[in-house]
Amino acid sequence: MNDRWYYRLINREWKANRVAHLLVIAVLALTLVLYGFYGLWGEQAATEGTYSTDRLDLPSRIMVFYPEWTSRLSHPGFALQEMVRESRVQRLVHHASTGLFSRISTEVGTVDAWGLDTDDSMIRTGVRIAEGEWLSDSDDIILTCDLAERLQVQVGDALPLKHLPSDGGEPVGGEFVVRGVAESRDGVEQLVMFPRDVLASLADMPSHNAAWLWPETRMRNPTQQVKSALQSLLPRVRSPLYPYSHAAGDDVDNPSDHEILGRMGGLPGPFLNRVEPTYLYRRSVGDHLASVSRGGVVTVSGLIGLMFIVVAVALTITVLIMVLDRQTTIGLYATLGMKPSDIGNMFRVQLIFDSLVGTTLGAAALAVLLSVMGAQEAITGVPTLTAVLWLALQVVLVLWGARVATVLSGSSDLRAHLRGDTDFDWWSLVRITPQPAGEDAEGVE
Amino acid sequence: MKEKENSTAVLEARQLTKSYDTAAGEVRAVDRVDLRIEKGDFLALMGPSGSGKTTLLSMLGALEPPTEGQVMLRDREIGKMTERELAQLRRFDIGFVFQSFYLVDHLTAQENVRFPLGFNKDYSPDEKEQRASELLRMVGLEDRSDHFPRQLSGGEKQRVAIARALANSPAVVLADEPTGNLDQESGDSVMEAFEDLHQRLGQTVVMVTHDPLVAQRARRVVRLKSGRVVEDQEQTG
Repeated sequence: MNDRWYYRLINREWKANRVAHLLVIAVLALTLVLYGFYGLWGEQAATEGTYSTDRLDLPSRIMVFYPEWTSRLSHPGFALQEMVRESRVQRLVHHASTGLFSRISTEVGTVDAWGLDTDDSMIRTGVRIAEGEWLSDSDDIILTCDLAERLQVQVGDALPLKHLPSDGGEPVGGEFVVRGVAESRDGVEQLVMFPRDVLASLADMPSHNAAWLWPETRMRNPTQQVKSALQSLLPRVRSPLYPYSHAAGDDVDNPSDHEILGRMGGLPGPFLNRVEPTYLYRRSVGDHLASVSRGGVVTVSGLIGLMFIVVAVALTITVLIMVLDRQTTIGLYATLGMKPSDIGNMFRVQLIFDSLVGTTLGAAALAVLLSVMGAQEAITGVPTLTAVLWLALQVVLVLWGARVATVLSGSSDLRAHLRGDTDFDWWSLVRITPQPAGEDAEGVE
Repeated sequence: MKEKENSTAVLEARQLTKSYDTAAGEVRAVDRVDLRIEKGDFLALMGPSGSGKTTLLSMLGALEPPTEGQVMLRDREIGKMTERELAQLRRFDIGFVFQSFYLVDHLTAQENVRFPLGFNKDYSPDEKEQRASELLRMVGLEDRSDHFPRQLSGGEKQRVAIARALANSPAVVLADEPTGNLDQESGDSVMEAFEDLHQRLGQTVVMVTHDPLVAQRARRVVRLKSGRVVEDQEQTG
């Protein structure tokens, strides 16, 4: 059991060696900035040309619009956007999932979707898929990214679909053309599909799908421009490990959305409506590697990997020097009766603090840097690998420093340590010495 | 040679040897030393430079492992102790005073004295503070308790180190050239502190010195030469 004296000692220790600790913190922060920045660069490079909005491998939902809806479009580019936002798309999802698919007998799977219940509460529901086709008797249907990926659809593709006439008769077949991407109320991209025979009535639409896509569409709307300006501020406070989760479409000024998304598990405070990263495209390590080979970014990825190694070695050496520099102090503490484990814990606590502060500062700096660069517009996925590597680096760093200190203080030749003789047995760092039972049962009181 | 085989030794060296491999071959800093330190001894280890007195003291205090031989503390062999037992031994059974003081620079005098008490569960936090204050008062530094080592003179630092060594009422205090870095006046004050704690508390003290004047104040003088004990005699006060 450690008393306050022990932690006061650790505090004094830290302050007495603050130059070394600040160096570690600075290296950590700088490393995170560089690593995050180049990680983003690598992600972008790896995904460039592969995951553009023209190729809808993004986490998209498929939306099928019916003639009744398209006829309401007064201005195709802008109004569709508004329509999507106002059309209670999610309620229709619920409707489709509970009513429509009950008539389909052959299922190949289900995908998750959110829907609004009759009391306007959010419910999670499954949308069933039947043999690659699905039916609709409603105005639209929304499916999650699972289906989009399964069908490998992209802009311009035509899909054979069936729909139920409003009178409840037999399903009618038809071809639906993917025209672009729209943005749902929760900021998620969705495929926009129209029946082929309706396309003619949409002749006044810009033919290029970009006109249908945000941010181009959004930017025509002054209100959206204001919102975009507000949204551009949001990534500044987000974790740099998620700089890719776009804020577009977030209703920062819509309290009801806050409430709804809050119930969905959104972020607290003013960011209640921030969509959780589950909506983002998540790639496996295999996908990463595949992207690298396709995108020809071996150099970039190699640099990132090399940088990680260099940084890991640099940090390891920095911590080693910091600990060895305190050899006399460690020897003194051991001479006064501190157990090696207590001394190791002292360094562990200090390094955890350094690690947290360094990471926080680095994250803040990276967030600012990315915001300044406008990197929040780059939706390239969640850099899971980056986050995992960084976490691993922190753990190794802390364990390494504490291990060195523990081994130093456990030396049988404390006199050499008091003299500051660095006659260090490197093998002892990896040698496992069995501790007698109850070794750690007694700590500093 | 002094022989007290019938009494119980607080600390005992048996055929204690420390050798180093050098380019010129093996050098024996301490060569098969037998030494018994009884409770209440005030012993000075004397000898010229290189005679092995500091090495012997380090082995007695478990700061350095012997090449051969045994060190017994209250009939327990130090060489067979676990890491944990060694830590406990250094906490509770042995107090160290070094020539270079080795105070913790970022702790005040009071906190330095309190340091070893941090491991002692016999005292409450308040009692630890009181104990530290009492020890500082004993060495005449009660008015310096809030001073950091850099604010103390050499003699004062050494007296703080003495107070720290006594914190857990150890069986023996090992002092390595405690006046070596001090001027005459400061050295005298430190020696007075040692004499005082020996006389008043019956504290066992083993002190390394090469200064005959300092050694004169001890009750027993052991002389080393080339790593071997050449003389062991009692002195009368």
